[in-house]
Parts: sequence; C-alpha cells; structure tokens
Amino acid sequence: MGLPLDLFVLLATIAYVVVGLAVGVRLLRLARRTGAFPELALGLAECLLAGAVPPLFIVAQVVSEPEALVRGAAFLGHLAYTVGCAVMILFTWRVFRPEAGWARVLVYAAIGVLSAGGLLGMLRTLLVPDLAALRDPQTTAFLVMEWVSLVGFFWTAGEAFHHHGRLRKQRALGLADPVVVNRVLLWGVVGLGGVAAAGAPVVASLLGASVSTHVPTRLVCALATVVSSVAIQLAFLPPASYLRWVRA
Amino acid sequence: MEAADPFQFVCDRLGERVQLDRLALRGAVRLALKAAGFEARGVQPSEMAVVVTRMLPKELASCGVSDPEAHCARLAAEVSGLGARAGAESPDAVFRRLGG
Repeated sequence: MGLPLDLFVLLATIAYVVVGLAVGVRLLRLARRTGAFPELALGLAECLLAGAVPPLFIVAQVVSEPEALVRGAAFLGHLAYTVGCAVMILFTWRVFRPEAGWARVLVYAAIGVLSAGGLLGMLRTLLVPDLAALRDPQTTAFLVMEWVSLVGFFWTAGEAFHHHGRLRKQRALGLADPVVVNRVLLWGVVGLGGVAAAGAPVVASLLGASVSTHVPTRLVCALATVVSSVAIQLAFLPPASYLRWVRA
Repeated sequence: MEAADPFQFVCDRLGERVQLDRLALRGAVRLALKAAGFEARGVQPSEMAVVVTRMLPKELASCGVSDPEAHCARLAAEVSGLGARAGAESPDAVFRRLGG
C-alpha cells in the first residue's frame, strides 16, 4: 500500500495547495477592494494553511541540508499554521457570532493557547540539536496546535451547518439565494474536512501510533484534503456549469 | 421611512388588535420566524413581511385568533414600509460577497 498511498497523499496535497492558493489570492484581492475583514481573514487562512504550511513542512521533512533551510522551513511552517488557524477562528467569530460574549471568550482562549503552542514549536525548531528531533511531528507544541485547530474547525463546521439549516428554510420562502445557501453548506464541508485532517493525527497520538507512518491516519488526512479542496473550489471559484446546476 | 425593529413593531401592532396575552403573542411571532429560518434580532422589514404573510397566520390560528389572514395581510403591508435596519453584516451577505 506504500507507493499508491504515497502517490495519493502527494496528489491530494498538491491539489490542496493549488486550490488554496488560487482561492486565497482571489479573496485577498477582494479584501483589497472592499477593505472588509472576512475576505482578508479567509484569504490569509487559505494562503497560509493550504498554500504555505504543506510545502514548508514537506521541505522540513524531506530536505536534509542546508540545516538552516530545514530549520527555517519548520519555523515558518509553525508560524503559518499558528497565524492561519488564528485567522480562521477569527473569521468564524466575526461572521457567525460577532456579538456573542461566549464566542469572544472562546476566541481569546483558543488564540492564547494556539499562540503558546506556536511559540513553543517555533522555539523548538531553533533549539533542538539534531534534525531528526526537529522532524518529529508528535511534539507537545504541535499537538496543542492541532487540538486548537480541531476545536476551531469543529466550531466552523457547526456554525456553517446551523446557518445552512436556517437558509434552507428561507430559501423555501424565496428569501435566500440558492447559490449562497449551497456556498454555506460547502463551507461546512470544508470545516468537516478540517476536523478530520486535524483530528486524525490527534487520535493517532492518543492511540500511540506514529502520525507519519500510520496508514489510516494518512488516508483520512488525504481524503479530508481532497474533500476540502473540492468544497473550497466549488464554494469560492465555482465553474459556471456548477452554478447553473445549483440554481436549477 | 421609519427604521424600527420589525419584530417589536409586529408584536406591538398585533397586541393592539388581537385578544392574546403578551407572552403568547411574542411566542407566536418567534415561532413563525423560527419556521422561516430567522431570529427576532436581525430580521429585515422585507423579510418580516413575508414571514407575517406566509407563516404567522398558522401560528395565530393555533392560538385561537380569529381571521388571522386579515390581520397578517394588514400587518405585512405596514411592516414592509419600515426602513431597512443597520447592523452587523449577516453571514449570508458575507458569503454572497465571497463568491465574487
């Protein structure tokens, strides 16, 4: 199963990076025109979590020298993961629960813990003596970041599906655009993909398995990546034929 | 045009016209909103007018209000004349823009 799985993981990662960058750049351009926070946050999240994190961690895992490049890639990977998760959580808060006190507390707590984990991870990339230890994906810092990411994506999916339920009722009365209703549903699917991609390594760690070699974990992560890529593409860069189908 | 809370407006006007205690009346309007996928906070006058026309008659009938359609038709015309409310951007407005 090694080679087919490796190939599938590689292709899924490439698709995720390409789609994430395309959507992220488009949203950042939109943010430059509108000056609004949601497109800025989501554009940054896509560029960082999809466009930057996978390539940086691949470099950290695969390249052997120069050591400064490996350490730099791992450092930037932790930084991109931390900032990307933070802006994703901020997006969910500002779009779905801007006035809820509990959401504000949750966001502050999540970003606080995430930042602590991220800083610890970045420090570690500079201080661990050898590259083998640097490449260990099951550090406390990374697990902390994955737990926060898991909570963040779970919240994102929950809010999106909850809002989609309301929009479906509005649509039945002719009060909601079917394309927007579908886009919110797809955003929930992206959230679920994030839950699976962040949750699988957490579960593997709890079971004592190696995240980088455990076949079910790699398979779940790759499938979640594919599903997320398709959902992001259809939500934010949909082909005209898809929009016609949704409207029909 | 007046910028008022459509939920409050509907409850106030209905309270003047039907024999129903305040809690039951507000509950009926909230149930109609929920069935249409809205919350009292944030609903716009144009949306409230549709909810009043399409969903509220059933809720009022179940509370024993006579001729609910006539009350609701009059109320819908009144509420649709209110000015749109300013406030936080709704999630669907955000997702509409994000689609380009």
